[in-house]
Amino acid sequence: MGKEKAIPIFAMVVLVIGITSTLYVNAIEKNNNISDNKLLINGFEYSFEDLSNNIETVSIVTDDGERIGIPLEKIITFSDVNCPACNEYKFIASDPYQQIISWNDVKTGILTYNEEYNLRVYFPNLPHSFWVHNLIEIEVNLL
Amino acid sequence: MNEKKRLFAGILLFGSLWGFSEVIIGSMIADAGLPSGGLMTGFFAIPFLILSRLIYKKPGMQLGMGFVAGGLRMFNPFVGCQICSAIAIMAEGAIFELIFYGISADFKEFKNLTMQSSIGIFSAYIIFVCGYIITQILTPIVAGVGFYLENLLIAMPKIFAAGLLPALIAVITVPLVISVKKLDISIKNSIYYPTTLGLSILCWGIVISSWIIFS
Repeated sequence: MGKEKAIPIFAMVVLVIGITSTLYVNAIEKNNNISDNKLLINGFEYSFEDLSNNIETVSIVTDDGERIGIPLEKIITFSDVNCPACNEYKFIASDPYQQIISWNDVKTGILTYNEEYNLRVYFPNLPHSFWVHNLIEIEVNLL
Repeated sequence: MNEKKRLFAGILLFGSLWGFSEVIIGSMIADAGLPSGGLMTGFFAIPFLILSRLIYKKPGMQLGMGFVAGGLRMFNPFVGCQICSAIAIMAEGAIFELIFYGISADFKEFKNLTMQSSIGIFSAYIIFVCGYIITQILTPIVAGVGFYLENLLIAMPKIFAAGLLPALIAVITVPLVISVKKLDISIKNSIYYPTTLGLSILCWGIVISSWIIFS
């Protein structure tokens, strides 16, 4: 097959992959309702209000400016996780996207809420790809 | 020797323009809450890569451009994650080389609009998706956090979906770039070097001074 035929076919194939994936991601996002600001932590559901009413917010400095939120270290303690240092933490977004983060890094992070990103975590010492937004779950897994 | 000097100046110029647009325009787009990665690849990276290949017709040049642009991105940490962006930019240059190594050195074959649009869709999609995947692998390693294959696999539908935007943009930008090249604007040697070096210095100067002023 010559280039004249192969290249338009390859273009069509990547377009089909892109469109199908977009539909799939949108369907998953719709299924994972993020509008109620609920967060599943270690199997238990909390609202952002639950957490902010019980835990004092702090301010951290990131390379993207100052951010105010609830310290993740306190959230993990609040949600009755036994031996926080014995676990690793999977931050799962609605779209789906996830990052596995060690306790040492979790301790530096905060949970925030805004209209644009919904629930979002910030880790001042980690690259932005770890700043999971549209967060729906923190899964706690024993090391 | 003269040919090599000319090529090196071209790498510096196009790499600097690409890096400048990623840092200055890319950060504005990101601040506006728009998908900066896809928009930058479709509107800037692909046109710069294709235009430079059309002008210089030298495989390998775009790899160098990626390193210059990624290097410039590293000089501007205040606008966000410099590691992820710099890796993505360098990867895009390298992937462009790989794609066109087997397809065409100078795009002579792409005479009609269907072929130009098709190569735009295909190259933009593959460059963006592969760049995204490479960034997801290298960023945690460079950051010393460790790479988890599970994280990448679950993000694959999102990555494949994100490639659609640059692919659709490239349907327009690639034929446009090829038609601009047909104008065949030539620059005399006497003004080529001062122009390329001057513009490159300007790009680096603006990026570095914006870092100093705003950080």
